[in-house]
Amino acid sequence: MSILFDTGPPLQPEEFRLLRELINRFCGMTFSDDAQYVFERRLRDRVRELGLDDYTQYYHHLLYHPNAKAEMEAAVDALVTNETYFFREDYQLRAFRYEVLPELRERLEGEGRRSLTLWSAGCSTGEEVYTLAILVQDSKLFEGWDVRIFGNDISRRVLAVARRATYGSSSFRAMPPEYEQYFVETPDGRQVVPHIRGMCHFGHLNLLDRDRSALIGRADAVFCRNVLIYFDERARSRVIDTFYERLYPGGYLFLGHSESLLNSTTAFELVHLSTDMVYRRPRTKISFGGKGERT
Amino acid sequence: MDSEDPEERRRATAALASAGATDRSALLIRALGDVDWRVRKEGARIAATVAEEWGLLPELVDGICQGENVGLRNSALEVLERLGPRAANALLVALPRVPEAARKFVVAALGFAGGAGVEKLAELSRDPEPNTAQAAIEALARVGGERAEEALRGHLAAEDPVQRLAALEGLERLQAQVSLEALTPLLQDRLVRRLALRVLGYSEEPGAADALLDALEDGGAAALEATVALGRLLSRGGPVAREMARRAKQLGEPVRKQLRGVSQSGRDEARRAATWVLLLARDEESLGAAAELAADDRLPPIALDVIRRWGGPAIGPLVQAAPGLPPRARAVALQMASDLAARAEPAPDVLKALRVALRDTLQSGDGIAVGAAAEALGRWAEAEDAPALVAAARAFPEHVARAAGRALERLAASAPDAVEAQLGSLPLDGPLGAALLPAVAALGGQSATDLLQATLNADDPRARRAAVMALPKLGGERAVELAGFALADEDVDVQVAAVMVLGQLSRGGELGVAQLRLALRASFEPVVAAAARALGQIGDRASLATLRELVKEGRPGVAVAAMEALRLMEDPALDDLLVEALGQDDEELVKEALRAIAQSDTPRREARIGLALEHSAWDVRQLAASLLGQLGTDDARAALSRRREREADRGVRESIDTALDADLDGEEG
Repeated sequence: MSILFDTGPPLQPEEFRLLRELINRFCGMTFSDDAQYVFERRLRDRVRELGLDDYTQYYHHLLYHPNAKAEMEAAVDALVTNETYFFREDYQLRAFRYEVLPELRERLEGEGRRSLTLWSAGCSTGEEVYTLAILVQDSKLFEGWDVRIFGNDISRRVLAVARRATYGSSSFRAMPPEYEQYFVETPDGRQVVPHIRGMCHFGHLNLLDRDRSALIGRADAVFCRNVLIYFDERARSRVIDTFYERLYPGGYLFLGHSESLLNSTTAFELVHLSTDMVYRRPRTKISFGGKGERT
Repeated sequence: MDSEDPEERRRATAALASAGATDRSALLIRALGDVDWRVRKEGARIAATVAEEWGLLPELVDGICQGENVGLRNSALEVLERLGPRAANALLVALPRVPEAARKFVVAALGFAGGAGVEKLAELSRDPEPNTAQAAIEALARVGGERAEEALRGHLAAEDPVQRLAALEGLERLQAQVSLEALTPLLQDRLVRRLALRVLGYSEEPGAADALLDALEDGGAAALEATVALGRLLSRGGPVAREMARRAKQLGEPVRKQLRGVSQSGRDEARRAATWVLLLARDEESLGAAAELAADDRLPPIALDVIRRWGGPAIGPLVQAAPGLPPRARAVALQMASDLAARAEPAPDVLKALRVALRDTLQSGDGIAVGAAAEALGRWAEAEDAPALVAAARAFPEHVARAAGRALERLAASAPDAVEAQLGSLPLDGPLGAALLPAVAALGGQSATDLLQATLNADDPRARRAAVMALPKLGGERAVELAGFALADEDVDVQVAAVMVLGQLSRGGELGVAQLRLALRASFEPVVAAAARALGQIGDRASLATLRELVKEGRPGVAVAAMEALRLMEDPALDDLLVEALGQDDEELVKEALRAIAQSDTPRREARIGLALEHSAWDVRQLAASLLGQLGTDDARAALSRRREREADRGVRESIDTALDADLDGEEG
């Protein structure tokens, strides 16, 4: 596709707004007014691929075609940059490794539960999922436990990359050298070793789909970093409600450094760790008008 | 609410809204001052919904004025902020009785109350009590609007430097214009110089470019602000931007060097601005940074236009920069070089360097870069490139394979033997077939026909669809016959492709029209819709009766297409269908009906379209406004003006204004 002289159909402001709203309803993502050019460039290939004349026809395709959902996913995939890397925001991961994991281990053992479930929500190409698995493994706190790390994304393309578990150099830009042992060299890049891969599961899930999120079961910690920034307030609230529902009481929620629940919900309590602050689902369970219960 | 557990208190607070307790107001105010932030937040959320009904406004104002509980003050302020203009009156009434020390809090709250408090804020911004004046200036910046901007501009010459600073901050926040004359003294004021430079970015005076470039030459921290401001000037276009473009070519090396540094590692807005200015300066070293920004769509189209106008001389530097860039940016640099080369007839050595770079990238392991190289190589490929293009198609995901397929399709024109030698023995089922079949079709001849025909029976529907889409290259009755067979395919997308192809093949003749009429009875809605559109474009009046039936059936996707076809054919019976269509839930159907009404000569068309100005969907109202503007009659203007008063959607309001202006232009013209 030409960058400088593309002769594809222009995206009209009204078409942009319709497409933007449709995508927002589908996955909660929000785009600013100046994203019109991004929409035009990144969806042009989809319009061409489907043999359509303009973006109105593409909008109709997304509204009426029996495979509209798959095309909507393709559109989101084209619009979103999925770049991530291993050990991103390491100060938070240190807090998770040295403060949260020991607390979870002690508490879960006390409850007689020898299973640990982590959820990387919006996992993109999977680096965060494998990072979490490596941290759990490296901590040696959960040997002999049933450990599962689940990653989900709305894009099938990035999930295919995640399952392949083979990465180029840019994915390793922040990885401390002591974790090299969890990778092997292959002709296509460095691949995550099998025993770490075995702890990880990937699924195709729209975070707005509350019913399907039940497939994950309950989690001890949810990582949703640098994902909610793309959502509008309404979608953010829905997703956070889902996290609350899916977390065990006492379970942790990790957000990106620029993200906060301050204006979205009061249901989580703030926990001050030595290098970070995280959210936690309170352990008190009370129902007004009924019986109170403590866990 | 007496529990020691904050979670219990939070839940109790959440339950207050639905509880019938007589002391609920007091409990809610108590929650706003709780020691735990979650309880306060929950209280604020509830209070914002019940404050007026429960008569809490005076207590909220008291909450922000008291000095003992900071948590309560902040929560009360948050509630007043959420209430916005609804709190204005309570705040204005309270002002005279508020102790002087607490006035700044009431003033701050007025900043969230919209235009109702702007006159009072302008007055208070000159209050002798400095904290009150300062708070009023900050509040004016939140309110915005012409009156607030005017009041803020009035403080630029204030004696108090803190007030000057606050006024400038406010004007920058509002992206307000300030005259160069007013800003010039501030540019010499070390305390506010950086802010003044930022505000200069919103100027429309040509002298602003000079002032910013001077600041750039001074270097230091102010240079970064000047860079950002230059980016803002350029984004606005117009005479200032033109002046800027003229001046940029004269930039000296020290300034260029400084800008290059920002373009590599500055914050996003500064990087973009520095790169843009350097592009205007025709700085070859900036092209790598431009490619990096363009790779993430962070370079605006008008900045890309600078590279377009640069033309041939930019090809060499782009090719040179490419190997040192990350894969995505490398891909963009090579695509841009290829784009320019296609129009500039570059020197043979430049073209050779471009070919070498594209071939090297085609061999790299990165899918994005390989796809871009394959796409770009399409223009420059030679027979020897065919094996590498096929290898790329086989090794990488579908989108790369498609790019390689397009390159091979082009190459088939100049080196058919080389392409045929590579494609002849390939299995063309699956996504690979879908990618490479257009190249097969471009080869032409009996073997290509045989291969396409064979692929119409491939297992993978993507390959079958690609085979159908390639049929127009064969043309003739055989292609129509094969496309007709494809209408019986079990896959919806193959059938839609067959309809599209039949539509292309049948233009100007009867060939394929019979098959398209049959497709109107297909079981897949997108197939029926595509057939309706194709028949409308052909102008097949024999389909009119069926198309009318399809509108009446009410399947939205089909009805929209059928109505579009009837409109194109100016069906005299269409009018009878429109009234019912206007009442449908589907907005696209309503819009298509509106287009048909506007095109008809029905006597009540303005009234009918005018009704759509009341529709709940913004896009229906916007289209109605635009159509009424095109009609331009007195009735249409009256309907538009009436709606203008009530229209809440900004986009629709702009459309109404445009419609009224366009109509006026027409009258004047």
